[in-house]
Amino acid sequence: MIRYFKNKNIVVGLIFLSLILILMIAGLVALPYDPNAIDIAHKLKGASRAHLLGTDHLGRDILSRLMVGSRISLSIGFWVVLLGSLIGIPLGAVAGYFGGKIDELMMKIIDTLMSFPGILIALMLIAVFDVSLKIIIVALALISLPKFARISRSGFVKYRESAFVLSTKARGAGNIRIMIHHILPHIVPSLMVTASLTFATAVISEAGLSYLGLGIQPPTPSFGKMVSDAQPYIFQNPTYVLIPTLAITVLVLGFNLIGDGIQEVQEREGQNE
Amino acid sequence: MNKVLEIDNFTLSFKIKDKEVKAVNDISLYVEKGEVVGLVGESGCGKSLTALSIVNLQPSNSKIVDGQIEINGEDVLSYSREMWNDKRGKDFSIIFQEPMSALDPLVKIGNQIKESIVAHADESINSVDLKSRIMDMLRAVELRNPELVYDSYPHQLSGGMRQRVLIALSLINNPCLLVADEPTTALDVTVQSQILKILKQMNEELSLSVLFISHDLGVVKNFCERIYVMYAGLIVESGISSDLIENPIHPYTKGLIDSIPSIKKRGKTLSTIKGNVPTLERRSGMGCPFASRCYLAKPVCYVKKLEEQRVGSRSLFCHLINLEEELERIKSDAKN
Repeated sequence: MIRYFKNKNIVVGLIFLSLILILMIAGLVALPYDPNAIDIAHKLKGASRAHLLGTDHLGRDILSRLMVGSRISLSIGFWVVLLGSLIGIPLGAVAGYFGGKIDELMMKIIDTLMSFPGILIALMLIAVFDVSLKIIIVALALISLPKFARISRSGFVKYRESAFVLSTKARGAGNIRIMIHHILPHIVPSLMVTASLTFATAVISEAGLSYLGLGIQPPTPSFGKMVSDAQPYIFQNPTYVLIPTLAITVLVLGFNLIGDGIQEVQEREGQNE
Repeated sequence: MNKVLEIDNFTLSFKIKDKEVKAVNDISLYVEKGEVVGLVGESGCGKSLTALSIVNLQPSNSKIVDGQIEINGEDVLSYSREMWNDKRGKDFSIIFQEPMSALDPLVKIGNQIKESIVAHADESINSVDLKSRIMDMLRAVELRNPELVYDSYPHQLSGGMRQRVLIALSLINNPCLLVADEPTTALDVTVQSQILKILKQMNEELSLSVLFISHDLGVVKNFCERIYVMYAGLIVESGISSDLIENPIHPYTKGLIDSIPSIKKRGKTLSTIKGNVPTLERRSGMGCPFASRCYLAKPVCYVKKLEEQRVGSRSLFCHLINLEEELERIKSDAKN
């Protein structure tokens, strides 16, 4: 475990991530203002003692909106990773471990799912079911599912014929036991890389959808929604657009760095073996 | 006679380019209770396939064409998957060639052994009993620091230690049969003899039957009571160990014995058997598979089906040599 914390990428990634987490937790403990309270008299103000990060075009406190928005962005990432991995990993495990016809069928389905551009699936689902946080999560999970399935499948293919699996079988362990206790732990690091990259992609996708007006609906703030709201006022109050953009960058970069770091540590271990 | 393992006319084939190729061809062998039996042959002879078939772990693209495998009188080929999972590691065990990779690198030794016990236990065992049982077993395979080994990961142990752990693992449930598939091949000579000593000890103390598979006749001759010599999926000769080594009859067995290095042969060129075991695709399935490498070979060898010749404990598959006459000749030679 320690070697993971010695990796620079992981450390920097964790610092970035904790910045956003602190923002979210601070928001849960004490919000400076009601994030949806309109105060036209003080619109588009720069940073001041009253509003640490200034106000938006309706005079709402940007810091408060950012705090609430981080909740939305993080929870979307969390649920997408959870759903995607909970469905994708077992699918890939079964396909990879048993092989043959099951494998072929499952991978055909996964490949079909992969061949659609992700954003198209999201737009389709939103068009059919109307916009809601749940539908966005389901759509993004559907897009991330093939990635988990593929990574998990390749791991199970790699280990199913390995000597220790054979010898565990020869001692009478059943398939389920071998899959969960003897193969899954070996591919956890690769799955962690996928999870952290998927989290980053989910945050970006949500921001993209919200920017297009198809994501989170007003007045609820989210990082992407805030960027799209701020765009027309870029010259009146530059901090307004800069701050949510920066928040997205920090969050996504954080997860990407963690993903890269885990991969680096793994590769180095692979060389040492 | 109390046969723990009995294989009858067992044939295993692979399908290669729409052709059925027999990798294990009509072999019969048995192991009696408390007996150590050797199965010898070059690489690619089908020894390991035979071993894997005994525990039903043969490759998924192979097919059992014919024959029977009985363990303790039970026809194991008719077992269901649940039965296999129940019996493997309890009634019979297998040790593999590669001690370096046969242990799960992410699970501590103690836990791996624990898993084996719990999987086959009828009732739950409390953790103190469990640990003391594991410790006893680790001590029995002469691991010097069992406490330390118990809490180690496989990569922290040496090759010899790992093979000891594997022996402990396969014997923890007191099986009656152990199939040892080249357990000493990956180890150096000194460790090899220690491992053999432990296996012998287990054989005597627990009256464990062992089917010992090796390519090294030198190892097998001192260790096993009877030997089967296998070539290209076929058992070509078998007999009591000392008899077979001193008076080999089949040209292949002779070749194998001549290629064991020894002090007597010092300074001379070590004789070898020319050529290689034919690959699966190149086996015709007719005649004697050894014909192409045999110095006695005649045209008949390539076409005629082999028949077993049997005199007492000795058995031979060869067209050209008459077993009975040959044994008579050996006897009279010994008198002179």
